[in-house]
Order: sequence, then structure tokens, then C-alpha cells
Amino acid sequence: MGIVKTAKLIYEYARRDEDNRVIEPVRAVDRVDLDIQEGEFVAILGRNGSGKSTMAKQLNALLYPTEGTVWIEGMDTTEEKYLWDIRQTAGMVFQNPDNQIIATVVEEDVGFGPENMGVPPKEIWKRVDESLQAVGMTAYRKMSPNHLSGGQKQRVAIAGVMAMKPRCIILDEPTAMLDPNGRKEVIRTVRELNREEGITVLLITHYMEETVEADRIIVMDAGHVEMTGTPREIFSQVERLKELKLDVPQVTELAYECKREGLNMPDGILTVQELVDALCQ
Amino acid sequence: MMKDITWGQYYPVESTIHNLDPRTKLMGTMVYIISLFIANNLACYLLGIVFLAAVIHLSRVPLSYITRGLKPIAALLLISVLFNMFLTSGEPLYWQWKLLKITGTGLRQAFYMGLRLILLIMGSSLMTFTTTPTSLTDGLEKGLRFLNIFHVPVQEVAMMMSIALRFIPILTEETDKIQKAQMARGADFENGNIIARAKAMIPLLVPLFISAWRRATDLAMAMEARCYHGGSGRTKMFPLEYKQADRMGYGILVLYLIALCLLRYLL
Amino acid sequence: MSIECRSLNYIYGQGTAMEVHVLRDIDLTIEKGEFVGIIGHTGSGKSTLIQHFNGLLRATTGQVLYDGEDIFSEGYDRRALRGHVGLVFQYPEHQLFEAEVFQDVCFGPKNQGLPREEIEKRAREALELVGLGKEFDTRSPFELSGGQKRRVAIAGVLAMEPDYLILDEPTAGLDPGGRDEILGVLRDLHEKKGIAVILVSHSMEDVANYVQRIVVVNDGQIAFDDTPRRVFQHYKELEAIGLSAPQVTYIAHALRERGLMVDENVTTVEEAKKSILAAVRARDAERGRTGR
Repeated sequence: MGIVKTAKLIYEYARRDEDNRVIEPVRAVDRVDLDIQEGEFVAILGRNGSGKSTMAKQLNALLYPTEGTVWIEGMDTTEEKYLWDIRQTAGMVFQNPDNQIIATVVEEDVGFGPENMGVPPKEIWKRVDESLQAVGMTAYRKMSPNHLSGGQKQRVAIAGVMAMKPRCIILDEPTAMLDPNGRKEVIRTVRELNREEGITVLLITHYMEETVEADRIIVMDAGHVEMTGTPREIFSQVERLKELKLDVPQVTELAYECKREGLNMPDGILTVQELVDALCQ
Repeated sequence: MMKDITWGQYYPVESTIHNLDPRTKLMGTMVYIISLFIANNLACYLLGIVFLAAVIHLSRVPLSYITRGLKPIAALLLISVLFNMFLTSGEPLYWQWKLLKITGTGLRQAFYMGLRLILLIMGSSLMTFTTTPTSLTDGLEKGLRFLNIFHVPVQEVAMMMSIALRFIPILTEETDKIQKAQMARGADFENGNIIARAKAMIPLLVPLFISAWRRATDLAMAMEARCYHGGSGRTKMFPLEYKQADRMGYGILVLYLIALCLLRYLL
Repeated sequence: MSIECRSLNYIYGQGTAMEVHVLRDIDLTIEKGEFVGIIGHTGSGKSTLIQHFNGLLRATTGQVLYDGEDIFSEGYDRRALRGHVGLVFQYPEHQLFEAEVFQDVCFGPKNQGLPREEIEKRAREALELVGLGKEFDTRSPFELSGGQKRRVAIAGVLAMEPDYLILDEPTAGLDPGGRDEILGVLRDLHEKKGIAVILVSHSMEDVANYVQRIVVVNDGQIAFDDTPRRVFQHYKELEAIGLSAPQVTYIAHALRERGLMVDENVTTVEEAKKSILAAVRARDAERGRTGR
């Protein structure tokens, strides 16, 4: 069993009218089966409202399945005795950088998780040092979060999760509110954590360029898994992605268009180099 | 740009005073304020000045930085000095016009009053200059922990205080943005009578309230995800423990208070 | 008809320790009917710049002229100006406040002191322009999707019938579908209503398909001001200031280095495709002739 596993996961909530009467149940997550192995970098791609964020919250026991089961390292999220273990094992980074930083000084925020877990002070400081180092924010440790850029704030948030020594990090649209430079900064940090520390990464996003280097992409739409495969497998299906209102990299789209016009071209081109090589044989 | 406002005006340097336990500093500030009200003669005030000067020197906060804190209360200071100067009866009488008079007692009182206020402001602001808001909250939290017996949720209140400290600048900046967004739609926050102005606040307050609500729910979720479950079972990054310097600090405080009382009652 | 900045400088917190020279000697004229992209990374001063166009910020030195009149001269009606130069901020959450969409859109024209029928007529029209039908009138703006909220916010400014529509990062946080929707609405407004649209963004790829002119702001100064094609020729300089040209620009340059003579100034996938097809066919014909 992988570190994150779901079986026939369904989540429904009730839409209510002004008088709080249930109008209709809404199925946000629809029979999702996931099995994510330790050390993997998996991207979940989907448009707004595709249910990807709702699903992420299930993995951290912030929401519970209506039907089906979620296991984090074999622990069923509905069993209360595992609650804190689950949240330590699968840490979560959210979209809005401002709304997840609690302390007024960077290093104090990073220590917040370990404080809650009852870690002894000496050990907290060790973890804070290591986590800030891992995300490259050591130089900013004494600063107020209000003076950091969006990308830096997200790195602080990631450090805050790292200090809890998780095996897996779930990032719920961590770049949606950032500018392109901030987005690159965050994705680079996450990739390093994956490669160097062996942290399992589950990146939820609607920016396709962030998923290109993932081991595996899961495309969600209307609450269920639409496609799954390597970036190359996914991005070779340009039409399908467009139907799902998702982008493909410009280079992939260009290669696809040229191929349609009769040029000889392999499927699923992902980089400028690949396209140039294909055209200039 | 409002994010440049630093709350608590902490002055970041390393010093003996900065390193003291916040509880020691809280207690010290309290003792100092009390001492200023015990003081009633020149010798007492001189001792108070010397004491503060020594602490400021140890704190390595520039004097100009501390005196800047006096600016906002300059008017208040002036009024209280003038009141004492012109309205105090006593001996000897130097000058009088209707109710206004200048007397020796009045001059002395005005002088002491001014001095007392200045020392009071400088003394208490020194605490905020040398203590981070977080550390101050920690100090209050631990110093007031005994209130737990009366079911006062001290830790939770302290957590609320520190979150408030973090979000005040953010919400201030946000208010500014909302105001501009509505002004771009022709809203007018400056003109009109009181009712018109109160009505004009609605387009400002509704988005602000919704945003604050949203931030609060987001933050609650983020705190839960990082295993926050109330004050019990938490450890602290800065466990408050009195050190040698704090014991010395308390000693000095006691000596200062005794010396001051002696000066008051013996002279 | 134009918005004109003349040696505009803006210094934040002048005389304090936090003094920042945000804008330096900006000279810029935007004519009625243009479709302009103002590009710069966070902190470049682009958002500060546009807040001068409708007088929300006051230049420290220099002038802003609307139709030749200094908007900071004594007695100039800046509230009326904001009806002509509409500004939509990044987050719709910062302006939506009424319980119903229609009422919210009425806020702008109401502030202009128009009669009630006129207000409602304009609100209805504005909502139609952004593609929100009557069924949205009584919905709560807070229950809409991100893209829909953004459209209500735009309608709220459009209802004031501005000649210029300035939008600060209108696509930030939207998914590709939502982004295309908003940009499509803006293109229609420009084409059908002749409204001048000024789009502030940090994404070159987003704006390249739409605008006629790009103004690149860097460190409070105008770095480039030209057509997209001409601006993207400087892709190396753009990179140095933390921006990047669309990926197709890089493809075109890489292909030329390898000897495939495509047009290096392509800015969109469509243009690139045409140029590549033409170049490949020319090359193949050449190879055929020389018998390779």
C-alpha cells in the first residue's frame, strides 16, 4: 500500500437555500482511487471546481469521506486516535500565504507545528534551523512575514510543515496567488525537497507548466479522475486537455499543430529542445 | 504600504535588557511606574532618572529613538504642565490674574508633573522597544497562568493576541485597498453629513468583514493542519526560565525601590 | 482624447526612513481606443502607475493630463474623472458588497448621480457586456465562481460607461478557462464598444495574444514601449529583469540557430505554426532541388 491511498472516495455536501433547507446534495469528489508511493512527485491538475482541493483536505483529515476510505500510511483518517499522526505524516500547505502564517516572526512560525506536537524546545530549534535551510529561507529567519514576497511566504509555510517531519507534503494550489517568479521559486523548492529529502509530494494546481516535471499527473474534472499518466502521456492528448479547459505548454501545442499539418513529429513534446530536434533532423 | 507599520516598535539589537525574561521586564516596568508616584522630592526624581538612564544605556536603544515616542503626547504633556503651573494655589505667590496664578508650589508641581510623565512614557516604551510582541505575550501568558484556576483560558487569549498582532497590519493594508477600489467606482468617503458618511462606510465595511471572516476560517484550518489543539500539551520555542540576569534584575529592582522610599521619607 | 503622464515621479513616504522612489520620470501617453498591456514583475511600480491615471494617487512631481487637463489642478473633478477612467482592482472581493449582483453593479452609476432608470439601464447593459444574463441579477456575488466574480467587478466599473478601462491583474488566480473568458470579454469590449483597455499583468503569454502595444515597467521606469513583436525581440533583456517572452519566441530563436529560417518575431502559437510550416516546406523544396 502506498503512503497515500484512497478507495472509492466520495465526498458530498448539501447545498442549502436561504432558510437553510437542503436543496440538493453536491458530489464534490466522486469515486476517486489514488495510490501514491513513497517518494513520488504527483501533480493533480484540474480546473477550478474540479474537486481537487476538496480531495486534498480529505488527505489531511480536515474533511472526512462521505463514502469510501482514505489511508495515510495505512491509517484510516476516520479513526480519531490517528488524527495527529496523520496530520504530521501528511503536512499541508494552502493557497493563501497570508492566511497560514501564524506568528509575527518567520522562525517562530516555523516552530508552531512542533510546539503543538509537544516537541522539546531544543529539538524545536534544531528542526527550525533544518527546515529553514531546506527551503532556503535561513537569511530571513528574524523577519516579519509581512515584509516577504508571496513566494517567500509560501516557502516559510513549507518550512513550517517540514518542521513537523512529514513523510508527505500536500500542496493545495500553493502558487495560485503568486506572480511567475514566486511560482517558480515555490516549485523549485518543492522539487528539491522531493529529490533531496525524499519527501512524497502531492501538488495540486491548475497551472500545467508546474506539472511538467512530475513523475505522474492525475487530471481531475467534475470530482473524478479523468486521466492519469506521465507528463508525456498526458500532454500528448492536446484536444482532450482543451476540452477539460486546461492549458498545454505552448511548445506542446505548437508541435501538435505542426503534426496536424502533416509534419513528421513524435507525440507529447514537452521542451523547446525536443521540438527543435524534431524539426531540424 | 501600510505593512511598514511595525507593531510594538521593537528595536532589534542584542542587549542585556533585550535578553531579560519578559516577566522581569513587565515587573520592572510596573515597579518603575509605582516608584514615580512614590517620588516626591528632587532626590527621588534624580534617582529615577539615573535608574532609567542606566537601563537605557544597557538596552543599547538610541536615546533619540526613545524620545521620539514622546512626540505624540507632547500636547498632553504641555497641557498638564500648564494646568499645574497656572492653577495650583500655594506659596509664594509670584503673579495672579483672575483665576490664573503662578506660585512656587505650582512651579514645583508643574516641573515634577512634566518630569514624571516623561519618565513614565520613556520607561514603559523601553519595554516595547526591547521585547518582541510575541515574547511579551509569552510573558503575560506565563505570568498570568495562575488565572487558569479561575477558568480563564490564558493560553488561548495569548494566542489570540499574537494572531491579532500578525493580522492588524494585513487588515489595515486591505482596508486601504478596498477604499481605493470603491473610490474608483465613485464612492466618496470625505464629504457629506454624518449620516451620509456613515452610509458611505458600508461598501468599505462589508468587504472588509467578509475578508476577515474568510481569513479567520482559513487560518483556523491551517492551524488545525499543523496540529494546534489548544494550549494543553504545547511546548514553547522560548520556554520562560529565570536566569542569573533576571535574579539580579529583581534584586536591583528591590534595592531601587528601598532606596527611593528612604529618599522620600528621610529627606 | 488621451491619458498623458509627463515626467511623473512618485515617492512613497517622502522624508521618512521608509522613503521609496516608486516611479521615476514616466512619460507615457495612452490614446482613446488603444489596447495596451502594462507588464512588470511585482514591485516594479506598475500598479502604482495606473492609480495615477484616475487620480487615486497623487504624483510627487510631474503631471497627469486627461484630455489635456491637469487632473491635479485646483477644482478638477476627480470623482467625475473616475467615471471616464474606470479602474478594476485585482481582487473582486475588495469591491463586491451588495447582497445581489445587480445592486452591486448599480453602485458606480448611483455615485455618478444618475436618474434611476438610467442607472438600471446601464447596469443591465454592463452585465450583458460581460456575459452575465438576467438569471444572475438576484444571485449573491459572494456565491459565484472566481471568474464570475471578476466579471461582476468589471461590470461594476463598466456601468459607469468609461472611455478607458484599466484592469490590474484581471486573470490572477483564475484557471485557463476563466482566464480565456475574461480576456475574451475584454477583447469584445475593445472591438465592439471601442473602449480603450489597459491590462496590467506579469504574464507575457497572456497578453501577447490580445494587446496592440506593450509597456514594460521595471524598477519604476519604462523599459520598453512598443508592439508585442518589437518588445519580444528584446527577450534577453526581458529575462534579465525577471520577465520572459512567450515560449514561442524562444522556439523561433532556437530554430534559427539550428538553421531553420523561421520568423523570429512570432508571438503566438498560430503565427509560429505558419512560419514553421513555411520554413520547413522551403527547406524541403531546397533539399529536393539540390538532390539531398
